[in-house]
Amino acid sequence: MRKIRRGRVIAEASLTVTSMMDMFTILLIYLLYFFDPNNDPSQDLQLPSSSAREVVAEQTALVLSSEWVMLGSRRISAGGSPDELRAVYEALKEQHDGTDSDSNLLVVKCDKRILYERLDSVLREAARAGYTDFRFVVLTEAG
Amino acid sequence: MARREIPPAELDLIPVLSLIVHLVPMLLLNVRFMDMAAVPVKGPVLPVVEAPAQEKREEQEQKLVALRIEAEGLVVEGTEGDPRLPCGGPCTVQNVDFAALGVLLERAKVRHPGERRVVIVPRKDSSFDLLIRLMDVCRKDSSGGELFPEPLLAGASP
Repeated sequence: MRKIRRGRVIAEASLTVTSMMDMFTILLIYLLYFFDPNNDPSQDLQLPSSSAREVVAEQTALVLSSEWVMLGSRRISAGGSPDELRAVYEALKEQHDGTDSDSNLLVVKCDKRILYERLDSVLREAARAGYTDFRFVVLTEAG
Repeated sequence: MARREIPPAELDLIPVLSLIVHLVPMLLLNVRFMDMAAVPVKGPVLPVVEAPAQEKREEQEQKLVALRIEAEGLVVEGTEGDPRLPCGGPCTVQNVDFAALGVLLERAKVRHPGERRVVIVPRKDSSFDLLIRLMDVCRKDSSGGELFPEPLLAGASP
């Protein structure tokens, strides 16, 4: 649209946002496809990558980092001392006895930087609590 | 009679654009381009009913395929030929030759065609990342055929 001011014709600038809208719509659909509401980037846990394809069982996971052990979202231990390991045993025993099924399967999310000495000590407590079948959660390429 | 000029209708897309501009960073923070999977692992279960005789125990041990992580190399017990695979330093993900390990495991599979289990004996200082990579190599050969898909974790060697 043109305006006439003091005899001069001034062209009114207009921003064409249609093509930008197209671009943003495609970007939005792409990001929505990979959207994961459970993804918590603040959690300091680096899972290892693997070519495994087995589906992760829907179960409360034992989360193991170099500094703490969590059962689901509950922090149950901080270190590897005997008292801390006893806390891991008691929490796992409580969960194992509390479930109706006699499943001995435990889902474990373990930081890839952890040394086997620490993992072994926690798995031994899990075995004492009744879990002998482990599923280590790993990252695979999506799709 | 003068005709009234009707201005062309224009869709105001600016608020929609503003909404999308806010949505994109929020989605970018919660996006995950990797999927999750599970690696099944069992702890070694030993029969406690009756202690096997020495000969029987040795016979059982010969049937097992084991992957032992040592200070500066890997050992595949139950394979043909030389079972050692040097790492050229401490065995880390960067130092291990996974292709050569695959060849050793394929030889072990030829010797034990019906065996699905492999006992992995890590060191105390072996990283979990290395264990998962070793399990990957144990699971399938280079052509995608099945090798030893049921890994068992043994206690840490010093």
